[in-house]
Amino acid sequence: MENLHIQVSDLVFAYKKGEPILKQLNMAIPKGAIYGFLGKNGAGKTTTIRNMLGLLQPNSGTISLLGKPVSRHSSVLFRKVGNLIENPSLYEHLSGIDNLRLACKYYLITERNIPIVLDKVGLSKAGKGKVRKYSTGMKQRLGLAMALIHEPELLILDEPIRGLDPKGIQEIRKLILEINDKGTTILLSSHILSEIEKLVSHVGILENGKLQFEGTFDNLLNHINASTKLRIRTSDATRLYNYLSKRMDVNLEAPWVTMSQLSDTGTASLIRELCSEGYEVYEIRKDKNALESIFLGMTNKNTN
Amino acid sequence: MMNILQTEWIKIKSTPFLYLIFMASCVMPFFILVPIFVDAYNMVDLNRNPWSLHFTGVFAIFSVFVVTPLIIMMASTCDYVEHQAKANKYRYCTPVSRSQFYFGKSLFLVLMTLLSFLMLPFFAILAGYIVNLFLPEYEYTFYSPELWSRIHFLKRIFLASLGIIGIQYFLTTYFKHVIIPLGIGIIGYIISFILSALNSPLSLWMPYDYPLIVNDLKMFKNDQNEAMIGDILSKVELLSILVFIIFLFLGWLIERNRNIRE
Repeated sequence: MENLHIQVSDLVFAYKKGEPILKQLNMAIPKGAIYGFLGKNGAGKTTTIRNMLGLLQPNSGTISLLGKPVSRHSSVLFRKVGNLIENPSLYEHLSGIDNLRLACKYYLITERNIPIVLDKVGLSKAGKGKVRKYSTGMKQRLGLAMALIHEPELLILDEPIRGLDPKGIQEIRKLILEINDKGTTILLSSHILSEIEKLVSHVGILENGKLQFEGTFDNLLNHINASTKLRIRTSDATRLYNYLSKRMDVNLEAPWVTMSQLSDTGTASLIRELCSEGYEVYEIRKDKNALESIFLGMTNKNTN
Repeated sequence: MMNILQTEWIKIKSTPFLYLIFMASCVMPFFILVPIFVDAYNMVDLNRNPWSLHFTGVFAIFSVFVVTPLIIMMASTCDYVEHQAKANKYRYCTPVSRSQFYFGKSLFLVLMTLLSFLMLPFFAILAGYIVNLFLPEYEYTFYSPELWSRIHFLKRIFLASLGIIGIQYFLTTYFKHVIIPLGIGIIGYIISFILSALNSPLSLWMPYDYPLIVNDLKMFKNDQNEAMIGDILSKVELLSILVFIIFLFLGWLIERNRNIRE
């Protein structure tokens, strides 16, 4: 329990009675992790995060952050938690610095952190400007600065890279890694795999109100490897299918014959065998888009 | 609570909220100059303290035409700034509790209303001295403004206005929208005018009417009915405070249990 910075147990939440968005959701995020919280748009990621932060009242189940139970009245707990939920909460008629001053007042801290966080998110020069003149990316950076102003132990970021240009994405990724290096646990939600693939140590994939996968990124990669397919295209797909189906599990997806991934030596011997049997092998490949396909596979399996 | 008041002050910078307060108490007293200049010689009474007429005019305009619309607009916009910034999802995940935010903002609203009341007599005096510059026959400088009794009257209007603050703050908390509370407030204000014009006993059930009641009684005050008037004024002030407390509490019940979806 002490090593878990976020624990969600049997969480059920419904906006409308009888139509639960989250169904007995369980999550466990260890201390120091960068947890990638994946799911399609509308899967319930933001709803889960809002429940975690006490903004929504769960129908049942429990949530604890930093080992302490969360409710709507857990204000003391939030001294150590930073968040950015979807579009940042910004007073557009004020300057970036004024927005950060408000955050300092809420967290009861001095304002000396303001230039530091502005520098971290690359807004040092724009800090005095009115937020209404900021681009979407700049607003997102300011939202991130507001989440970091009090140096939280736990950072919850909902789609933090939304609206950023490629350079901005690189910078924010670097910043997230730097923050994590200092021991901050980070929950990072996204519906775009490539956004967080390079950052996360742990992954949770949400679909239909439940986690379809949770584990380390290595676990996910093993899972992916196990499900990676080998594709072979020859002069006669049907004949090849009939030939191989007698001794292994294959599928005919003309003009391809697909099978589970083989070892490198197994692949080499199969190619030799097919050539000696008179097959003209045009193409042989491994599906390398595996992370995405496992993601899609996981998120679609209940609907198919 | 001090930090919440400071944040509210930062937030109202360059918003209509601040202009409303200054328009109400700094600019409004100078409107009285118009009839004085236009009809100067008919209004001069050498045997009377000119401040009396001056303050009666300023306070009548303020309590009848300014206080209620000012409160309706301030209360409707004070929470709208949070709604527009989608600020609750951030604010409510900080160490400040929902109750502190709720009561802090209501206190700020009361203090800003009080500020407009406190600024009013000073700008009214300034307006008097400006009149004297152009029309010295009024003899503003010769007579005392008798400020203390004016402030005492303003205090009564302020207490009578608390009920409207409570209702409008409740409405803006409940609806999270600027138009609906504004609309309800304006309807309440119009009804209060009708009740006041009809001299209806239902006025006591209409908190929007309380500042008008206080003002009417002050204007028609004389020695014979002073005791009766004093009694009614106390009743109105008491009712206003009661309405304020009830609606403040109702709004808090809503806000503390609200799901934040925005």
